[in-house]
Amino acid sequence: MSTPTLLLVDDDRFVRNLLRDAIQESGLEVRLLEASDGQEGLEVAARERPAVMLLDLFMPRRSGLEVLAAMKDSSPDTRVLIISSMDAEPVVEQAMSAGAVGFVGKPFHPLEIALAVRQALAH
Amino acid sequence: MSTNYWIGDSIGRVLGPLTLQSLRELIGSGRLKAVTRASRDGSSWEPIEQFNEVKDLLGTLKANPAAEAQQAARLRQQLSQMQGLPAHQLFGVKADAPVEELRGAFFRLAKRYSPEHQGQDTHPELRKVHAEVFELLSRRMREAEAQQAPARAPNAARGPQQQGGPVYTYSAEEFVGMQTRNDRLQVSVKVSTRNAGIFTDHRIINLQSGGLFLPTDKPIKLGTRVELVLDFEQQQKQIKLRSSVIWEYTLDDGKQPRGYGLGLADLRAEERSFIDEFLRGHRTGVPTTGR
Repeated sequence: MSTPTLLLVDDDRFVRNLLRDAIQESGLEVRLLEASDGQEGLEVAARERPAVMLLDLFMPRRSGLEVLAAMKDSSPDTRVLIISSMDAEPVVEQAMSAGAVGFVGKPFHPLEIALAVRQALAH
Repeated sequence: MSTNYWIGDSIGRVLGPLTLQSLRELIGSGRLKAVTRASRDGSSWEPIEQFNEVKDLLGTLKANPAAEAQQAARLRQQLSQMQGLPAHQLFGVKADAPVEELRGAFFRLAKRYSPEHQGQDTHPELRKVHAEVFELLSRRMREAEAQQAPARAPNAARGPQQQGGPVYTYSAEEFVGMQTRNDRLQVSVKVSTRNAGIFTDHRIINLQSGGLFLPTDKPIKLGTRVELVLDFEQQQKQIKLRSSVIWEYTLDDGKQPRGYGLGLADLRAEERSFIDEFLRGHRTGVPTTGR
Protein backbone atom coordinates (compact mmCIF):
# COMPACT_ATOMS: atom_id res chain seq x y z
CA MET A 1 0.00 0.00 0.00
CA SER A 2 1.42 3.41 -0.92
CA THR A 3 2.26 6.07 1.65
CA PRO A 4 -0.71 8.45 2.07
CA THR A 5 -0.19 12.13 1.37
CA LEU A 6 -1.22 14.83 3.86
CA LEU A 7 -1.58 18.44 2.80
CA LEU A 8 -1.20 21.14 5.46
CA VAL A 9 -2.97 24.36 4.47
CA ASP A 10 -2.33 27.26 6.84
CA ASP A 11 -0.98 30.76 6.21
CA ASP A 12 1.02 30.62 9.43
CA ARG A 13 4.36 28.94 8.86
CA PHE A 14 4.77 28.28 12.56
CA VAL A 15 1.45 26.41 12.67
CA ARG A 16 2.51 24.35 9.67
CA ASN A 17 5.74 23.50 11.49
CA LEU A 18 3.79 22.51 14.60
CA LEU A 19 1.48 20.32 12.53
CA ARG A 20 4.44 18.77 10.76
CA ASP A 21 6.12 18.02 14.11
CA ALA A 22 2.94 16.60 15.60
CA ILE A 23 2.43 14.25 12.66
CA GLN A 24 6.06 13.19 12.35
CA GLU A 25 6.36 12.52 16.08
CA SER A 26 3.15 10.49 16.07
CA GLY A 27 4.91 7.83 14.03
CA LEU A 28 2.46 8.08 11.14
CA GLU A 29 4.08 7.19 7.85
CA VAL A 30 2.85 9.87 5.51
CA ARG A 31 4.13 12.20 2.82
CA LEU A 32 3.67 15.81 3.90
CA LEU A 33 2.93 18.74 1.60
CA GLU A 34 2.21 22.36 2.49
CA ALA A 35 0.27 25.30 1.13
CA SER A 36 0.21 28.81 2.59
CA ASP A 37 -3.27 30.00 1.60
CA GLY A 38 -6.62 28.69 0.44
CA GLN A 39 -6.03 29.14 -3.27
CA GLU A 40 -2.67 27.40 -3.17
CA GLY A 41 -4.25 24.64 -1.08
CA LEU A 42 -6.83 23.97 -3.80
CA GLU A 43 -4.17 23.95 -6.50
CA VAL A 44 -1.88 21.56 -4.65
CA ALA A 45 -4.83 19.32 -3.77
CA ALA A 46 -5.94 19.14 -7.42
CA ARG A 47 -2.42 18.23 -8.48
CA GLU A 48 -1.37 15.86 -5.68
CA ARG A 49 -4.66 14.28 -4.63
CA PRO A 50 -3.83 14.04 -0.90
CA ALA A 51 -5.60 11.50 1.29
CA VAL A 52 -6.16 14.14 3.96
CA MET A 53 -6.08 17.93 3.95
CA LEU A 54 -5.55 19.80 7.24
CA LEU A 55 -7.26 23.10 6.59
CA ASP A 56 -7.24 26.42 8.41
CA LEU A 57 -10.33 28.62 8.01
CA PHE A 58 -9.04 32.22 8.24
CA MET A 59 -6.55 32.61 5.39
CA PRO A 60 -5.58 34.93 2.56
CA ARG A 61 -7.08 34.68 -0.95
CA ARG A 62 -9.68 31.99 -0.21
CA SER A 63 -11.16 31.11 3.15
CA GLY A 64 -11.11 27.56 4.43
CA LEU A 65 -14.89 27.31 4.12
CA GLU A 66 -14.65 28.24 0.43
CA VAL A 67 -11.88 25.70 -0.06
CA LEU A 68 -13.96 23.05 1.69
CA ALA A 69 -16.88 23.68 -0.66
CA ALA A 70 -14.63 23.65 -3.73
CA MET A 71 -12.91 20.42 -2.65
CA LYS A 72 -16.23 18.60 -2.89
CA ASP A 73 -16.14 19.07 -6.66
CA SER A 74 -12.44 19.20 -7.42
CA SER A 75 -11.03 16.53 -5.02
CA PRO A 76 -13.96 14.56 -3.58
CA ASP A 77 -11.75 11.72 -2.34
CA THR A 78 -9.67 13.95 -0.08
CA ARG A 79 -10.82 13.97 3.53
CA VAL A 80 -10.72 17.47 4.99
CA LEU A 81 -9.87 18.05 8.64
CA ILE A 82 -10.38 21.62 9.88
CA ILE A 83 -7.75 23.08 12.23
CA SER A 84 -8.92 26.50 13.35
CA SER A 85 -9.39 28.85 16.28
CA MET A 86 -12.80 29.75 14.82
CA ASP A 87 -14.39 26.82 16.62
CA ALA A 88 -17.73 28.37 17.57
CA GLU A 89 -20.52 25.81 17.42
CA PRO A 90 -22.33 27.12 14.31
CA VAL A 91 -19.05 27.29 12.42
CA VAL A 92 -18.12 23.73 13.42
CA GLU A 93 -21.60 22.59 12.35
CA GLN A 94 -21.29 24.44 9.06
CA ALA A 95 -17.90 22.86 8.34
CA MET A 96 -19.06 19.37 9.25
CA SER A 97 -22.22 19.76 7.14
CA ALA A 98 -20.06 20.90 4.25
CA GLY A 99 -18.14 17.63 4.38
CA ALA A 100 -15.27 18.07 6.86
CA VAL A 101 -14.40 14.82 8.65
CA GLY A 102 -13.26 16.55 11.84
CA PHE A 103 -12.57 19.87 13.54
CA VAL A 104 -9.67 20.56 15.90
CA GLY A 105 -9.69 23.91 17.69
CA LYS A 106 -6.56 26.00 18.07
CA PRO A 107 -4.49 26.10 20.14
CA PHE A 108 -4.07 22.37 19.70
CA HIS A 109 -2.05 19.70 21.40
CA PRO A 110 0.09 17.50 19.11
CA LEU A 111 -1.81 14.49 20.38
CA GLU A 112 -5.11 15.94 19.20
CA ILE A 113 -3.67 16.32 15.73
CA ALA A 114 -2.26 12.80 15.67
CA LEU A 115 -5.58 11.32 16.80
CA ALA A 116 -7.60 13.37 14.34
CA VAL A 117 -5.30 12.49 11.43
CA ARG A 118 -5.45 8.78 12.30
CA GLN A 119 -9.24 8.99 12.35
CA ALA A 120 -9.32 10.90 9.07
CA LEU A 121 -7.04 8.33 7.42
CA ALA A 122 -9.30 5.52 8.63
CA HIS A 123 -12.47 7.38 7.57
CA MET B 1 -32.62 32.39 3.79
CA SER B 2 -30.02 34.00 6.03
CA THR B 3 -27.56 36.49 4.61
CA ASN B 4 -23.98 35.36 4.25
CA TYR B 5 -20.99 37.47 5.13
CA TRP B 6 -17.32 37.28 4.45
CA ILE B 7 -15.04 39.21 6.75
CA GLY B 8 -11.39 40.14 6.38
CA ASP B 9 -8.58 41.48 8.52
CA SER B 10 -5.71 43.89 7.95
CA ILE B 11 -3.26 41.17 6.91
CA GLY B 12 -5.41 39.89 4.06
CA ARG B 13 -7.02 36.90 5.68
CA VAL B 14 -10.64 36.13 4.81
CA LEU B 15 -13.31 34.06 6.51
CA GLY B 16 -16.67 33.14 5.07
CA PRO B 17 -19.35 32.57 4.10
CA LEU B 18 -20.74 32.99 7.60
CA THR B 19 -24.22 33.73 8.87
CA LEU B 20 -24.73 36.70 11.17
CA GLN B 21 -25.35 34.16 13.95
CA SER B 22 -21.92 32.58 13.35
CA LEU B 23 -20.32 36.02 13.33
CA ARG B 24 -22.10 36.86 16.58
CA GLU B 25 -20.74 33.70 18.21
CA LEU B 26 -17.21 34.27 16.95
CA ILE B 27 -17.11 37.90 18.01
CA GLY B 28 -18.96 37.34 21.28
CA SER B 29 -16.57 34.59 22.34
CA GLY B 30 -13.55 36.74 21.55
CA ARG B 31 -12.35 34.49 18.72
CA LEU B 32 -12.70 37.21 16.12
CA LYS B 33 -11.38 40.65 16.93
CA ALA B 34 -9.43 42.50 14.26
CA VAL B 35 -12.02 42.69 11.48
CA THR B 36 -11.41 45.55 9.05
CA ARG B 37 -13.57 44.77 5.99
CA ALA B 38 -16.58 42.75 4.98
CA SER B 39 -18.31 41.43 1.91
CA ARG B 40 -21.64 39.85 1.00
CA ASP B 41 -20.32 37.83 -1.92
CA GLY B 42 -16.68 37.15 -1.07
CA SER B 43 -15.39 39.29 -3.91
CA SER B 44 -16.61 42.89 -3.44
CA TRP B 45 -15.17 44.20 -0.21
CA GLU B 46 -16.08 47.32 1.77
CA PRO B 47 -14.68 48.80 4.98
CA ILE B 48 -16.42 47.38 8.03
CA GLU B 49 -18.02 50.79 8.66
CA GLN B 50 -20.29 50.11 5.66
CA PHE B 51 -21.80 47.07 7.37
CA ASN B 52 -23.76 48.43 10.29
CA GLU B 53 -24.91 45.01 11.48
CA VAL B 54 -21.34 43.66 11.65
CA LYS B 55 -19.89 46.90 13.01
CA ASP B 56 -22.53 46.90 15.75
CA LEU B 57 -21.58 43.36 16.68
CA LEU B 58 -17.96 44.34 17.00
CA GLY B 59 -18.66 47.52 18.90
CA THR B 60 -21.57 46.88 21.17
CA LEU B 61 -22.23 43.17 21.44
CA LYS B 62 -23.25 42.47 24.99
CA ALA B 63 -23.83 39.15 26.62
CA ASN B 64 -27.37 38.14 27.51
CA PRO B 65 -27.17 37.99 31.33
CA ALA B 66 -30.47 36.13 31.83
CA ALA B 67 -29.63 33.42 29.30
CA GLU B 68 -26.12 33.06 30.69
CA ALA B 69 -27.43 32.75 34.25
CA GLN B 70 -29.71 29.92 33.08
CA GLN B 71 -26.81 28.30 31.27
CA ALA B 72 -24.73 28.56 34.45
CA ALA B 73 -27.47 26.86 36.49
CA ARG B 74 -27.73 24.02 33.95
CA LEU B 75 -23.98 23.58 33.87
CA ARG B 76 -23.78 23.54 37.66
CA GLN B 77 -26.28 20.68 37.69
CA GLN B 78 -24.17 18.78 35.17
CA LEU B 79 -21.05 19.53 37.20
CA SER B 80 -22.51 17.85 40.29
CA GLN B 81 -23.09 14.72 38.18
CA MET B 82 -19.59 14.95 36.68
CA GLN B 83 -17.97 15.07 40.15
CA GLY B 84 -18.61 11.39 40.76
CA LEU B 85 -17.37 10.15 37.41
CA PRO B 86 -13.99 8.51 36.88
CA ALA B 87 -11.72 10.05 34.24
CA HIS B 88 -12.67 7.74 31.39
CA GLN B 89 -16.40 8.36 31.86
CA LEU B 90 -15.88 12.08 32.29
CA PHE B 91 -13.89 12.23 29.07
CA GLY B 92 -16.12 9.77 27.21
CA VAL B 93 -13.51 7.12 26.41
CA LYS B 94 -13.31 3.37 27.12
CA ALA B 95 -12.25 2.27 30.60
CA ASP B 96 -9.02 0.75 29.25
CA ALA B 97 -8.17 3.71 26.98
CA PRO B 98 -4.48 4.65 27.03
CA VAL B 99 -3.53 7.94 28.66
CA GLU B 100 -2.88 9.48 25.22
CA GLU B 101 -6.52 8.99 24.29
CA LEU B 102 -7.62 10.46 27.61
CA ARG B 103 -5.43 13.50 26.96
CA GLY B 104 -6.97 14.00 23.53
CA ALA B 105 -10.47 13.93 25.02
CA PHE B 106 -9.33 16.17 27.87
CA PHE B 107 -8.00 18.82 25.49
CA ARG B 108 -11.23 18.91 23.53
CA LEU B 109 -13.28 19.42 26.69
CA ALA B 110 -10.84 21.71 28.48
CA LYS B 111 -10.77 24.11 25.56
CA ARG B 112 -14.54 24.46 25.74
CA TYR B 113 -14.41 25.46 29.41
CA SER B 114 -11.13 27.36 29.36
CA PRO B 115 -11.30 30.91 30.74
CA GLU B 116 -9.75 31.99 27.44
CA HIS B 117 -12.82 30.90 25.53
CA GLN B 118 -15.23 33.32 27.13
CA GLY B 119 -16.18 36.84 26.17
CA GLN B 120 -15.33 39.87 28.23
CA ASP B 121 -18.93 40.26 29.38
CA THR B 122 -19.62 36.66 30.35
CA HIS B 123 -21.94 36.42 33.36
CA PRO B 124 -19.83 36.01 36.54
CA GLU B 125 -21.71 32.87 37.58
CA LEU B 126 -21.15 31.26 34.18
CA ARG B 127 -17.49 32.22 34.31
CA LYS B 128 -17.27 30.67 37.79
CA VAL B 129 -18.92 27.38 36.87
CA HIS B 130 -16.80 27.13 33.71
CA ALA B 131 -13.70 27.53 35.87
CA GLU B 132 -14.95 24.79 38.20
CA VAL B 133 -15.57 22.40 35.30
CA PHE B 134 -12.14 23.25 33.90
CA GLU B 135 -10.57 22.52 37.27
CA LEU B 136 -12.42 19.19 37.62
CA LEU B 137 -11.28 18.12 34.15
CA SER B 138 -7.69 19.09 34.95
CA ARG B 139 -7.77 17.26 38.28
CA ARG B 140 -9.08 14.06 36.70
CA MET B 141 -6.44 14.30 33.98
CA ARG B 142 -3.66 14.76 36.54
CA GLU B 143 -4.93 11.73 38.49
CA ALA B 144 -5.04 9.61 35.34
CA GLU B 145 -1.54 10.71 34.34
CA ALA B 146 -0.19 10.05 37.83
CA GLN B 147 -1.59 6.51 37.72
CA GLN B 148 0.13 5.75 34.44
CA ALA B 149 3.34 7.82 34.78
CA PRO B 150 6.54 5.84 35.41
CA ALA B 151 8.35 6.57 38.67
CA ARG B 152 11.05 9.24 38.29
CA ALA B 153 13.68 10.72 40.50
CA PRO B 154 12.55 13.87 42.31
CA ASN B 155 13.48 17.15 40.61
CA ALA B 156 14.21 15.35 37.35
CA ALA B 157 12.54 18.09 35.33
CA ARG B 158 14.23 21.06 36.84
CA GLY B 159 17.32 21.07 34.73
CA PRO B 160 17.57 21.59 30.99
CA GLN B 161 15.88 19.03 28.81
CA GLN B 162 18.01 15.96 28.35
CA GLN B 163 16.65 14.17 25.28
CA GLY B 164 15.86 15.93 22.01
CA GLY B 165 13.67 19.01 21.52
CA PRO B 166 14.61 22.52 22.58
CA VAL B 167 16.92 23.01 25.52
CA TYR B 168 15.17 25.26 27.99
CA THR B 169 17.48 28.11 28.85
CA TYR B 170 15.21 29.90 31.27
CA SER B 171 14.38 29.18 34.87
CA ALA B 172 12.24 30.48 37.69
CA GLU B 173 15.14 32.67 38.74
CA GLU B 174 14.55 34.75 35.62
CA PHE B 175 11.44 36.11 37.21
CA VAL B 176 11.73 39.26 39.20
CA GLY B 177 8.64 38.74 41.25
CA MET B 178 5.58 36.66 41.77
CA GLN B 179 3.18 37.57 44.55
CA THR B 180 -0.46 37.04 45.34
CA ARG B 181 -2.70 40.01 45.92
CA ASN B 182 -6.36 39.32 46.74
CA ASP B 183 -7.47 36.79 44.13
CA ARG B 184 -4.83 37.77 41.61
CA LEU B 185 -1.26 36.78 41.04
CA GLN B 186 1.19 39.49 40.12
CA VAL B 187 3.99 38.28 37.90
CA SER B 188 6.86 40.40 36.62
CA VAL B 189 9.24 39.04 34.03
CA LYS B 190 12.46 40.68 32.98
CA VAL B 191 12.56 39.55 29.38
CA SER B 192 16.03 39.00 27.99
CA THR B 193 17.80 36.85 25.41
CA ARG B 194 18.22 34.15 28.03
CA ASN B 195 14.55 33.69 28.79
CA ALA B 196 13.01 34.65 25.42
CA GLY B 197 12.13 30.96 25.18
CA ILE B 198 9.12 31.55 27.44
CA PHE B 199 7.40 32.73 24.24
CA THR B 200 8.62 30.03 21.90
CA ASP B 201 10.06 26.89 23.46
CA HIS B 202 6.96 25.24 24.82
CA ARG B 203 5.23 23.17 22.20
CA ILE B 204 1.73 23.95 23.41
CA ILE B 205 1.86 27.25 25.20
CA ASN B 206 3.72 29.74 23.06
CA LEU B 207 3.24 33.12 21.43
CA GLN B 208 1.70 31.56 18.34
CA SER B 209 -0.91 29.70 20.37
CA GLY B 210 -1.63 32.87 22.33
CA GLY B 211 0.34 32.32 25.50
CA LEU B 212 3.65 32.09 27.29
CA PHE B 213 5.10 29.45 29.57
CA LEU B 214 5.95 30.41 33.13
CA PRO B 215 8.41 27.90 34.57
CA THR B 216 8.02 27.62 38.32
CA ASP B 217 7.71 25.07 41.10
CA LYS B 218 5.25 27.28 42.94
CA PRO B 219 1.77 25.69 42.83
CA ILE B 220 -0.78 27.85 41.03
CA LYS B 221 -4.43 27.00 40.44
CA LEU B 222 -5.68 26.77 36.89
CA GLY B 223 -7.82 29.77 36.07
CA THR B 224 -5.94 32.05 38.50
CA ARG B 225 -6.05 35.60 37.23
CA VAL B 226 -2.65 37.09 36.64
CA GLU B 227 -1.47 40.67 36.34
CA LEU B 228 1.52 40.21 34.10
CA VAL B 229 4.29 42.72 33.53
CA LEU B 230 6.76 41.98 30.75
CA ASP B 231 9.75 44.20 31.23
CA PHE B 232 12.00 44.48 28.18
CA GLU B 233 14.72 46.29 30.04
CA GLN B 234 17.16 46.70 27.18
CA GLN B 235 14.48 48.16 24.93
CA GLN B 236 13.04 50.24 27.79
CA LYS B 237 9.56 48.91 27.15
CA GLN B 238 7.03 47.49 29.53
CA ILE B 239 3.94 45.54 28.56
CA LYS B 240 1.23 45.14 31.19
CA LEU B 241 -1.45 42.54 30.62
CA ARG B 242 -4.36 40.87 32.34
CA SER B 243 -3.92 37.18 31.93
CA SER B 244 -4.94 33.88 33.48
CA VAL B 245 -3.43 30.44 34.05
CA ILE B 246 -4.70 28.25 31.22
CA TRP B 247 -2.31 25.32 31.34
CA GLU B 248 -0.25 23.44 33.84
CA TYR B 249 2.62 21.03 33.54
CA THR B 250 3.59 19.63 36.89
CA LEU B 251 4.93 16.20 36.00
CA ASP B 252 8.50 15.33 36.90
CA ASP B 253 8.98 13.51 33.62
CA GLY B 254 12.37 14.92 32.67
CA LYS B 255 11.02 16.26 29.40
CA GLN B 256 10.45 19.89 30.29
CA PRO B 257 10.45 22.21 33.27
CA ARG B 258 7.42 22.31 35.47
CA GLY B 259 5.29 25.39 35.19
CA TYR B 260 2.18 27.03 33.88
CA GLY B 261 0.83 28.52 30.70
CA LEU B 262 -0.52 32.06 30.77
CA GLY B 263 -2.94 33.22 28.11
CA LEU B 264 -2.13 36.41 26.23
CA ALA B 265 -5.59 37.14 24.82
CA ASP B 266 -5.32 40.82 25.76
CA LEU B 267 -2.07 41.36 23.89
CA ARG B 268 -2.58 44.28 21.49
CA ALA B 269 -1.41 44.06 17.88
CA GLU B 270 1.41 46.56 18.36
CA GLU B 271 2.60 44.74 21.47
CA ARG B 272 2.51 41.47 19.58
CA SER B 273 4.57 43.08 16.80
CA PHE B 274 7.06 44.37 19.35
CA ILE B 275 7.53 40.88 20.84
CA ASP B 276 7.83 39.34 17.35
CA GLU B 277 10.51 41.89 16.54
CA PHE B 278 12.28 41.23 19.83
CA LEU B 279 12.30 37.49 19.17
CA ARG B 280 13.55 37.96 15.62
CA GLY B 281 16.42 40.05 16.98
CA HIS B 282 17.30 37.67 19.76
CA ARG B 283 16.49 34.21 18.52
CA THR B 284 17.33 34.10 14.83
CA GLY B 285 15.41 31.45 12.97
CA VAL B 286 12.55 31.17 15.45
CA PRO B 287 9.35 31.76 13.50
CA THR B 288 6.87 33.78 15.53
CA THR B 289 4.27 35.14 13.19
CA GLY B 290 0.67 33.98 13.41
CA ARG B 291 -2.41 34.33 15.54
